[in-house]
Amino acid sequence: MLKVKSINAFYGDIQILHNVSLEVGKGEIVTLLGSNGAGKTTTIKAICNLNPAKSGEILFLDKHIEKTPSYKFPHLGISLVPEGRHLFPDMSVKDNLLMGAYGQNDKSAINSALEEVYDIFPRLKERSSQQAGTLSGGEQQMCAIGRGLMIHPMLMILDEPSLGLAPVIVDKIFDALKLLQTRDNVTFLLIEQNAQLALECSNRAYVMENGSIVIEGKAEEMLSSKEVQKAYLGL
Amino acid sequence: MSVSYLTNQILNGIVLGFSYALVGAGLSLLWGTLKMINLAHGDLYMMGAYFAWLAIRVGKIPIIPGIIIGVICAAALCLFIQISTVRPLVRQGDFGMSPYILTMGLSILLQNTALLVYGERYQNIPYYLDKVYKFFNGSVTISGQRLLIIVVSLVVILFLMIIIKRTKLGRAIRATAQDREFASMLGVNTKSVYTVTYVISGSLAAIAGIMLAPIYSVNPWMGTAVQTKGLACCVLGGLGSVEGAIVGGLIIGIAESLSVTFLSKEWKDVVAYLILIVMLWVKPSGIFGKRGAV
Ligand SMILES: Nc1ncnc2c1ncn2[C@@H]1O[C@H](COP(=O)(O)OP(=O)(O)O)[C@@H](O)[C@H]1O
Ligand SMILES: [Mg+2]
Repeated sequence: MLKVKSINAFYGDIQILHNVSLEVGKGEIVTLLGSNGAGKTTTIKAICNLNPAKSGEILFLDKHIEKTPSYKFPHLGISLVPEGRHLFPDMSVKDNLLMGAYGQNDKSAINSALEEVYDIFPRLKERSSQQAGTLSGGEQQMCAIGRGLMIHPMLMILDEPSLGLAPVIVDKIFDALKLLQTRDNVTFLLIEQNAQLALECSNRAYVMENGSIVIEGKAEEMLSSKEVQKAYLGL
Repeated sequence: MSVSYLTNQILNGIVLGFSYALVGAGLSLLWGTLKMINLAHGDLYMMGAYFAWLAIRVGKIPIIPGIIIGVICAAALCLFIQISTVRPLVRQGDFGMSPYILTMGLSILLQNTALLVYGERYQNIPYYLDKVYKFFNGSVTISGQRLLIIVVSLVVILFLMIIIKRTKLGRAIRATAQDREFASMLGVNTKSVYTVTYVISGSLAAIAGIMLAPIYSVNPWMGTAVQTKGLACCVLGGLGSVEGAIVGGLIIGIAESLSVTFLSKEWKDVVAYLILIVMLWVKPSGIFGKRGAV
């Protein structure tokens, strides 16, 4: 579904990504692991054209999207749940969710998408008129994911959804992702530092170090791989 | 001093206040979304007045279509300025000092263009509504032109609020203001949002210029005082808040008018800026200010 072929990305003159390649197949959950500063977020920004790659190819459903401006990504069926959530703090939860359906005009479709999100995260329904900035961390993450679901994405990219959240909440969020994968056939590209948890629910994974992919393979194999265990699972 | 005299002075203050509000609302909107101060904002006010003068006095076009043509020409000018100068700046991302230098240059350019093209003679436009209205058995009188300024400002401000709070464009503007990078990932074409915001902002100034042109004469420097006053109103209300600019505009307008009544004409700017200084002392973020978002 998503193919990234040897992209190189820069911030100013400093090269961050070196020939990064990865693939996400339809219906998969693929995890991108790596310690802080490895270049995971930079990879996502390159894919989404927020900080375009200088070279390399990016294909979605076999179409080149290197030059597709980021505001067209919702039309492609790609939604991003960014690192740090990026909610609109002064807007209500409902308005934040509605922003997720910004490009759509069909009112009834928008309303049913909203109900679906409320079904998955009932908490958001209770808080729908509260300002997003006043939610707890877990609720904010739910809101960010909910906003990403408003377009019924084919591919959802999540950048560190578990960051700073209590384990109970993290489990809840991962359960929701699993449900979306099996029930709605959503494909996920997941970025995590919580390797154990991410690998347990993924099909495949990549490990990134200093802007390059250093290991790739099946998630269960990685869980038992000595290298990964030592570096990322703290075993 | 009679009550009716005082009422009339307050009314004059409200008229003045609404013109500041229009100018300030545009400045605040621009700050809220693009995070830039337009130092040529007052000159767009001036250009609006000249466009109306050209249409009505030179072109002999009837008043209402003349005003509309003036607004359209000003909007077109803003569009041209945005695409040719502001957009390349936005592309760079982090602006630093460049908006100030750019818009200061634009201001000089616009003033001198006006001077070259229209000359330095002050020009006049007839009152759009040349009547006097009396209320409360004649104890309150207001010229049609001033009444028109209040009505037009109210309608324009209402329209602006509806756009910002209730429409899809407004949601796009607010989203871009709060989180430019991410708004684009939700499908907002932030580049167009910036363009539209700049055009709306400049047109608000032009509308103010067009409405006030019959009262003050039209000249190349008419925007300078309005620029500083408009900015003062924004800061008083909370930079970035459109409501704040409107409230700030009314406060300063009325205060100026009252200081003319109770002190003398020379005191009006002193009082206006004194209010601003006290506000900055007490609450530096302004009346409505918090995060500087629309
Ligand atoms: N906006 C930026 N400007 C310059 N350098 C950046 C910027 N964002 C990140 N970096 C640098 O790029 C590298 C990769 O960062 P990032 O992709 O955010 O890592 P990760 O998401 O894996 O933690 C880091 O060395 C970081 O300091
Ligand atoms: Mg990151």
